[in-house]
Amino acid sequence: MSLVGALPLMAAPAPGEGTDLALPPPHGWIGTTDEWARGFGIAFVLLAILLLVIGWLRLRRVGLTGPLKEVLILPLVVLPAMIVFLGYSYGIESSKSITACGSCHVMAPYLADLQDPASEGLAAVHYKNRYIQEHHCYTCHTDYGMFGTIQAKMEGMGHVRRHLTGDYTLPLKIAHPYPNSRCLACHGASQKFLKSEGHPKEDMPKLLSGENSCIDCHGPAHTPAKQAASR
Amino acid sequence: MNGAAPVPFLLRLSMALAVLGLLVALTLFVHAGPYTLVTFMFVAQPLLLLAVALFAVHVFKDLRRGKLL
Repeated sequence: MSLVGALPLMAAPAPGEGTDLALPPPHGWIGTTDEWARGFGIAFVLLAILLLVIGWLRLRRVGLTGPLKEVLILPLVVLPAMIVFLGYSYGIESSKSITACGSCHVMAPYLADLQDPASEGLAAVHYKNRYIQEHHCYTCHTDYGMFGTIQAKMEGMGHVRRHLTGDYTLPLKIAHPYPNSRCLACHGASQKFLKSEGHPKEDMPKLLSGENSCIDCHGPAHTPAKQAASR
Repeated sequence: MNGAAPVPFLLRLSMALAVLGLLVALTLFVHAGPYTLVTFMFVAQPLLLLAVALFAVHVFKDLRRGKLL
């Protein structure tokens, strides 16, 4: 099979992704940008390694010739640049999936609660009704705009460090009070929200300032099973 | 034993670092997750950058040796 022919196979969803999709993709589906970034990433890595191995063997056999120097630019400069670009493109996007959030064992009860149809936690209600289409954890735990994304990634790296070093206590607690702006970004302009008797206009300043929390009335956000005391 | 000239150390090191960086990068594409992403950012990327830098130094020295610079 040619490399081009193998690309769609490599562009298949990564393990654990898309497993909650109820319907198969439509006819003619060629995959998402992420899946193609993954496929090209794997292909470019394998191509670069192959060229380096061939280059190494040629070096040992005939020494450093002019054409070989030119060929080595590909696996040492061009392909790595493309691989780094594709790696960020695919890696950052993949880190938004619930699979990525749930890959740390301390998050397992939260993920189980999220996917439990019987759960009445706010997150589970959003998930089972598909109020949020994708990236369920990320959507509600990230501020909006470019800096929200950057801040979320910085905090995510902090979470990895804490998980690796064991620098956390159970049960987990949210680091900062949950901002209402994340709820209002979707609900703030909805007629159901604006015309609800539970949201009188005189209370709006308190909601916008965060003095009243949405979670106070609509929570709990999560109802995870009790986590083990030991880790 | 053939008459091939010895491979410059910088070039050998550059190629070895590139292979290491590429293998680490491959783990991200095969299994994306928080750990593989952080490893990609803080291990694979510096290794690949170092490989490029060493290759650039080798090319620069080569050009100087050939009196092209």
